[in-house]
Amino acid sequence: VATNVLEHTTSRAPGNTVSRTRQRGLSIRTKLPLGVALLVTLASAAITAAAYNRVESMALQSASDRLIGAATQVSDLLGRTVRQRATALQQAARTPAMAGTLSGAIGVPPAAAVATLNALAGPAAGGQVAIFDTQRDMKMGTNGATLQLPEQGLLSPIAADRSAFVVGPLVRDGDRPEIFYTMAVGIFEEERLVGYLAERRMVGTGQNATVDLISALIGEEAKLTFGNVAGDVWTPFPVPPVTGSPVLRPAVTVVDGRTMAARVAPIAGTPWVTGVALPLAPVLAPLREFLRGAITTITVIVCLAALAGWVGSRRITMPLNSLTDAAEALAAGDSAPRLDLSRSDELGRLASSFNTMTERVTESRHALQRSVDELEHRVAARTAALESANKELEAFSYSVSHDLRAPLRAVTGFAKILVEDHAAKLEPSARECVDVIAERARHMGQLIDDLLAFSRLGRTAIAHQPVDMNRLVRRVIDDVVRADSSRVVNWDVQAALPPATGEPALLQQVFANLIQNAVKFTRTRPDAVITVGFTATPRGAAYFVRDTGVGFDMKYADRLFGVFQRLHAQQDFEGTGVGLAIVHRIVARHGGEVWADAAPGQGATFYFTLPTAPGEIA
Amino acid sequence: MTPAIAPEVEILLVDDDPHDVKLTLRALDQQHLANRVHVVQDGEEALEYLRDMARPRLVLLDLKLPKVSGLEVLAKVREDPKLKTLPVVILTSSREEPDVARAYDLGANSYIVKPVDFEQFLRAVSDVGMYWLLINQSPTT
Repeated sequence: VATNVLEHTTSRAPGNTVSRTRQRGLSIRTKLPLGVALLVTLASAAITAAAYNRVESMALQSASDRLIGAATQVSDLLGRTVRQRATALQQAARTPAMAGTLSGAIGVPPAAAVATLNALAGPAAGGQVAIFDTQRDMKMGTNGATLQLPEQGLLSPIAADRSAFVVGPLVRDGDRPEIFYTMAVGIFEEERLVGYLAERRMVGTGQNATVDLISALIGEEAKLTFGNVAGDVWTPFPVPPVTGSPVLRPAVTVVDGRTMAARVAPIAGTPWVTGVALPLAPVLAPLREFLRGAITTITVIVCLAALAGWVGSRRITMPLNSLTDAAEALAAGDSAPRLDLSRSDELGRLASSFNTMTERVTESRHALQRSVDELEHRVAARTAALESANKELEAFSYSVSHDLRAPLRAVTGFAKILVEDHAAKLEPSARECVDVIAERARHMGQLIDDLLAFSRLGRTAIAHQPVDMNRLVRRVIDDVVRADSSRVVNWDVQAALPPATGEPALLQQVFANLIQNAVKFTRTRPDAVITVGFTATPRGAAYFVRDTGVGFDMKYADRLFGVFQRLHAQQDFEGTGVGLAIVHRIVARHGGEVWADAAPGQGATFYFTLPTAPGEIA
Repeated sequence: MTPAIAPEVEILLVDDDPHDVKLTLRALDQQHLANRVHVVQDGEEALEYLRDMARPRLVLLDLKLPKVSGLEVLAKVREDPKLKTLPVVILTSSREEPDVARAYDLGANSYIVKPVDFEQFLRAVSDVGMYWLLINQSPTT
């Protein structure tokens, strides 16, 4: 037992049953910085995207505002130029030479009117000025003038209002790049419209100042165009014009491969519009700069956050790792190191709880070890005591065997010698005494032998082998019959007794003692019957030996199996009173039970149970 | 051979119990062997006798002896090249199984338990004497 306990405790030694747990998946130490970096990246990206959108729309809005302002100013500028020209024409129309030309004789041009027309036309090429009557026929014009009045419908405002003027659409003269326009004002004589003063001018002359102004307003990159509302003639500034793409849609558009924002504005008093387009690249350039800066900042922030996460996770995982190591050491049965975490947070509490637990576990282990040691000590002491008792018992048996028998032998021997050598001197009564002495000494020898056999039973180891009970019974009956062939017994032995498990020699002793008893106690019966069998009983299936002998009173049944207990007088039935005690001890040592059923004069039945053999028979 | 004792000793009886000795001699007397028996009281005497005197034809050896036990005497006898073939019969009161086993292990020729009953004792001892001295042929050296 002692060694078993010891082996049990040592078999739980380091690392056998508790293996170090392998970590699967990413550790917190990796996950935390990764998670923080991811979170910061997402947050920064979202904020940047929102900011970018906002800034972009603001930039676009500002560009748009600038465009509207520029378009309006350009439109005002051009409108003012047109009105100044109209004012100049109206002043000329009010001169008396004009009305006079119309009311005077045809073909004789007054010199004053001619001078005025030439002054209006100026030195520039392509300029033409002419006077028309209300029938739209040219009455007088500068040299080679081919200009025509705008359509009649367009002229009607002039009749209603003396200060009105009419501007025609931009026209191109054939395939030439120059663009021209026609302007007409009324000529009145005493509040009556008598004719029209009209001029054709080439666009562009003297407009460079305008372009410079516009450039100053909205930047060099801006593209300025203007043309008819209908879009049929369209020209970029500065003139002399070249053919360009019309910019009519007030929106972001692609012009000559560049993304541009554009606005158009009508020019008051004319069928013209002016357009201003602004490339978006310069507008959005600061935005891109902002984006680059933001990305750089975000990268730096993410790196810092990951670093912070790594440091933070180290702060968390390092104590956790040492805790895990300590817990594993404890689980493996080693002594766990004391955790020294000077922290007041959850981890600090955990470590302190763990330390408490370690102390408890260590205490329990020590207590357990003390108990085991004590137990082992006690077992060793008991074993020693038992061994010593066993040795004493053996010595006692030896003494009994040797020392008690020797005097008995002397008693019987010398009694015999007395009878043999001194028979003549012995009276019959003295002779009787000597016989009694010899007989009782013999009986005592028998008692000693039986007692030794009985005590030896307690020390014999019981084998557990299958035993063929039929063979045992046959052998015992044969011996009994051979020992006293004068007795007549009717044997009734059950054909197939089930096999038992146990020590064959001892089980044979059981049957021998029971059957010898049966033979002995049927001695007075003329036709004795002895039955040996196997039957079901309330205490389980049992072997039994039944006789038709003298039986006994069941009130003495409890004394039946005691050593030296006898229920019959020595002169009726000889015996030492050990046989049934031996039966009882053998059956008990096999884990079975023995009991009897009897009545005086009615015979007796002895039952005993044994563990039955499941396997083959020995 | 020089007969130190006349007549020639044929049996060495080793037993410390004078009553048992007397009974044994009486039993051997039935075979007329009693006057050719030399008796010693303990194992030491037995070994001395066997060393100094002529070799007997049979040793009747008790186990429980003063000084040197019967089993020790037997072991010494079997170790001696001159005596290892000497017939030794254990004649004892002990019927303990370890004694029997040890005796045979050491080379006893027989193991006889002295019966308590004198009739049986007489028969056993005289049978042993007759068998080993008259029936059985033993080597003389």
